[in-house]
Amino acid sequence: MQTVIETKALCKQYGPHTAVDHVELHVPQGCVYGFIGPNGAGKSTTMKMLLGLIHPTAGRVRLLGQELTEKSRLPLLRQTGSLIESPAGYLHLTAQENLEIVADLKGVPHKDIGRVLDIVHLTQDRNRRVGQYSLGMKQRLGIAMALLGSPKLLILDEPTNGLDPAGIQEMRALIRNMPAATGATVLISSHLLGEMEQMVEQVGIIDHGHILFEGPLTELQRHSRGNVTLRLLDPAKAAPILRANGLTAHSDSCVVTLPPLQDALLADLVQKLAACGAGVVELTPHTKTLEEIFLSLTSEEAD
Amino acid sequence: MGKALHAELQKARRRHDLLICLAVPVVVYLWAGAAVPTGADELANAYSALLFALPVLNAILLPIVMALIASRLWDMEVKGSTTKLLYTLQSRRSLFAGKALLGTGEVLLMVTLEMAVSILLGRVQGYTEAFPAGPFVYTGICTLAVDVMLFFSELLLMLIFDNPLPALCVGIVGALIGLFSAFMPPLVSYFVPWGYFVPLSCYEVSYWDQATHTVTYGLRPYNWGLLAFTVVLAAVLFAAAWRMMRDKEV
Repeated sequence: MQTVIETKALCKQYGPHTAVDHVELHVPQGCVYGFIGPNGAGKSTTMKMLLGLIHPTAGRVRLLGQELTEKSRLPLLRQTGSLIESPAGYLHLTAQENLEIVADLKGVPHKDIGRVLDIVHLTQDRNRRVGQYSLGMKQRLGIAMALLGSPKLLILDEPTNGLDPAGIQEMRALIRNMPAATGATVLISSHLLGEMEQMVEQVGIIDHGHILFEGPLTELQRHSRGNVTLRLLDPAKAAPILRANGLTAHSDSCVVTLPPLQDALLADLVQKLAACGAGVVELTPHTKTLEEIFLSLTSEEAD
Repeated sequence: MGKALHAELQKARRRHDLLICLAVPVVVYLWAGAAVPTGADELANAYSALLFALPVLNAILLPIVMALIASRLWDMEVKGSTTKLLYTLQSRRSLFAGKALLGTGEVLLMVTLEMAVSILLGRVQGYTEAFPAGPFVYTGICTLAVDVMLFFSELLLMLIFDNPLPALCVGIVGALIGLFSAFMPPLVSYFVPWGYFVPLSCYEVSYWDQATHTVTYGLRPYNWGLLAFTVVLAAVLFAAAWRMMRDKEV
């Protein structure tokens, strides 16, 4: 598969502080790629370097198969849409007028404005001033600006920040469908793994400027699987079954905590517990927090 | 360049910059209109009186107006968080060129209208003094040079602080100091760029008849040295503003 974004030993140093340290990203064409890391991990700095907004201290960036240089930057970015940190928009102008400015600067005909407004569901509000928009609407307008001219690549930095649950849901659906609807490859950053799981196929995890993991989401999910808690009516009856399955359970009154299990094993266990009369009332699979995954990844790396 | 200016003009929609550009000529018209010259002596000296008073009025108004024009040009980018988006669509050079062109264009429009109002006043109020074309053009050029210099100084402040307040405060304080410097020895006024309108003026009071309260204005030599310094200062501030935009982290 062709790689749309590729970085080689990308570094950014601010005085003594290393914000990005030898980052190697490989974003395949036609996917939604989640760039995950806690606040201050180096996500935005990396994305700004991908867009040439800040100069790397060292390393190289290739976008759409071409080296990003001062000369190639603007032609490459005309094929790229971006939304970095906060949505942009002139508050005294309407969405239509804002999009006209962006379209003219991108060299895109104005007839494309209707298409992108449709995609982000802002057609009804196109003639309202952006100053009267909610944050969610501004985010959608930001996406519309990024989509103008049908770019081959979209770089979105935490586009769900500050949105209400309905807005987040809507934004997720919009981004998830982007490759199919527009043919664009999407690089999206977030500090929430749970949010990313619903949108992306490939992930890169960054912490303290280092890439800890890069690969398919399914592989990451192996690392993110956490403990399982069972609430039982009679834990005493469950003990021999758990021992027989080689499981060490931590029991706290009626709640039993099990280590991470494969789905098939878990289903078999629940069936056996139910059959012996332990009374399975509730089963809660836990997902590791990003911090816990980092710890698991870094400990694996150390091993 | 054309694309960048076109984008700036699109952004100027509903920002009512034209009203600010019109405000200065309107104030000049109202102020001069309120002091209609009466009598043959005053009418025979009316253009000189107007061109003597105009720099003082400019020293009061224009530092604030320049702060308004410059700060509004950049403030919309700050409030709209648009710089990161713009730098992916156009070069920093093109963005700066667009803003510098529009700002200078607005200043030029304002000065042209102000000078046009002076001619209009002469016609409406029936000045009998022969139209002083040379001093008139010189005053226009001096006003333009000082305005452009102040515009880039305010744009620089706006770029440094990303906030219109420092630029506006400097504009207001500059207007007060500039006016104050007009009444100080000429050497002092050279250290106050906001008030350069006054030392650049080519008119002076040549005779004041205390008994009749009649003032006679006379020409004084053009201050080419200060005008050249103003142009150099404008160029330095232009370069500093450009460097600020070029090197600004986003």
